[in-house]
Amino acid sequence: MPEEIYPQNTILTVGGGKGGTGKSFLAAGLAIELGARSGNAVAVDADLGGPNLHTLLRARENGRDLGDFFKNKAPRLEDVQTATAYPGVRLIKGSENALFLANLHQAKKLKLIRQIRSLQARNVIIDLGTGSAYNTLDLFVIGRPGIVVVTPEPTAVENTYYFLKSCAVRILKLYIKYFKIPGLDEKIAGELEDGANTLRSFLTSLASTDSASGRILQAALNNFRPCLVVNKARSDKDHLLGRSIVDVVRRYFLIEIELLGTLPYDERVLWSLKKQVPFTLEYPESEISLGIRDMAARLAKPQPRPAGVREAQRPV
Amino acid sequence: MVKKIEDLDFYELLNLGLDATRVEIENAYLLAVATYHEEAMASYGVLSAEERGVILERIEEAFETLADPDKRKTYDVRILPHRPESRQRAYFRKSTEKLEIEDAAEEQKFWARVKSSLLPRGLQRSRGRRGQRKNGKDWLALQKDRYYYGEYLKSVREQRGLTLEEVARRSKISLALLTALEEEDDEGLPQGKVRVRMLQAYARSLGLDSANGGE
Repeated sequence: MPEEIYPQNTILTVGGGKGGTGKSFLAAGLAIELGARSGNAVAVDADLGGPNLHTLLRARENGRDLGDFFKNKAPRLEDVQTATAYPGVRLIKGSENALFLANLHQAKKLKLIRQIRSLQARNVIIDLGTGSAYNTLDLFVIGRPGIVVVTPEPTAVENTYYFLKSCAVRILKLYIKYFKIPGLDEKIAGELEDGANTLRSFLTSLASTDSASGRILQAALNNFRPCLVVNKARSDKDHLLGRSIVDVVRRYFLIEIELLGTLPYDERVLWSLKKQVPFTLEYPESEISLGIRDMAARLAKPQPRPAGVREAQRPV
Repeated sequence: MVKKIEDLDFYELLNLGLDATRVEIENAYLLAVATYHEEAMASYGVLSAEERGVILERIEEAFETLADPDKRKTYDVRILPHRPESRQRAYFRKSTEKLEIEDAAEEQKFWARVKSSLLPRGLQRSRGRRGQRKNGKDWLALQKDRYYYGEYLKSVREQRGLTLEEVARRSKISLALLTALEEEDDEGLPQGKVRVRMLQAYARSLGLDSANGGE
């Protein structure tokens, strides 16, 4: 079965450490905006615990979902797409069976990633579940960019750092495996995963003892360029938070994160949800809708490929 | 490689460009304090109390230095040679008016250095014209709140093993004016736009980025 990468296919992933930050809301909003722009967007609901993009996007009921793809009832990912109520947006529904993605096999996961890359779509938007499970991380890091959603609460910020650190450790481990650097795996497990060290101190100590692998790992991190969205901002202080987080992440986690935007808190989002009308269509001139449109415009522009490790060397 | 927080210069610490204005410095300071103060949400759980103390102290120091024009000027002269902007980025070709410094033989550079240290400096000073023509811009006022770094230009010139005469030939600026530029001698220099152009020509002849290097 040929699985060619569709040339113009850009993949966005939406994830984050904490539940209820508005990941699915943002994914749906971006899918609608990008679908309206390109006429050819696919949203993938990869939320392990509770898929609900089909509600937000009002997908037609036709029974097929990701579960069918994994059970080999449908050979290709394209076969489980359903139309949605919005022009240019198709949906790959999440599985009703929650245990599926949570216990996804390595081979199945790689097949999913390959098939996502070969989807015949201009934009692919993947809505990920909460948490830092390996399957979630592996899907998150294929995003160009991956978008982390955070709300201005200490718990959410804390989880965001944990999530980004987990992504970085996952990437470093993949590179260590790929370049067969001996001994580092245990070092990472000992120093980073126990949470005692920040990435900065880990890489600086590595650079002083083993500069060659230090450089490889830094190039690897340099390839990981997530974006940040601060959602439900209620005050000017909350608007400042996004920039602060970007500064801390760049400095202490050495991840070149970028602030994609800040969305204000709006009670009407809940009303729209209850009415099952997408907020961006019901209040097209609200600050949130304008913000999402602005993000879509930025994301629709071709992303510059970061310098460093070449495409062929990327193990993911 | 990764720099330590203590090794970042004040501009890097506050994420500022070298040409940051007073307002930009104030805003950057506010953001930095909001990010790193004791109860800041953004740095909660990331820094130890000790690390937080270090960075807060550095931020205060950075603001005190950069907000004071005199202190900032002294500081700039000290850090400029270490900034990536002032490092030479490309080889020079003979076909351009720039210098072919990388290709110059070590021997040649050595003698140039010897000559530059032996030759007398500050030969004579001619009185330059005062720039009266405003050309729509208030060049004198512009010059008042901007400054340049004669000492820095001189150190770059010496690093590259160039004599004043050589620079004079390449930049087509007279020796006396070049000396006045290096010594920041206000009296001996033309005012306003002419001076800016002259500085740019000098910087160019050293192979510096004339847009943000000299003036």
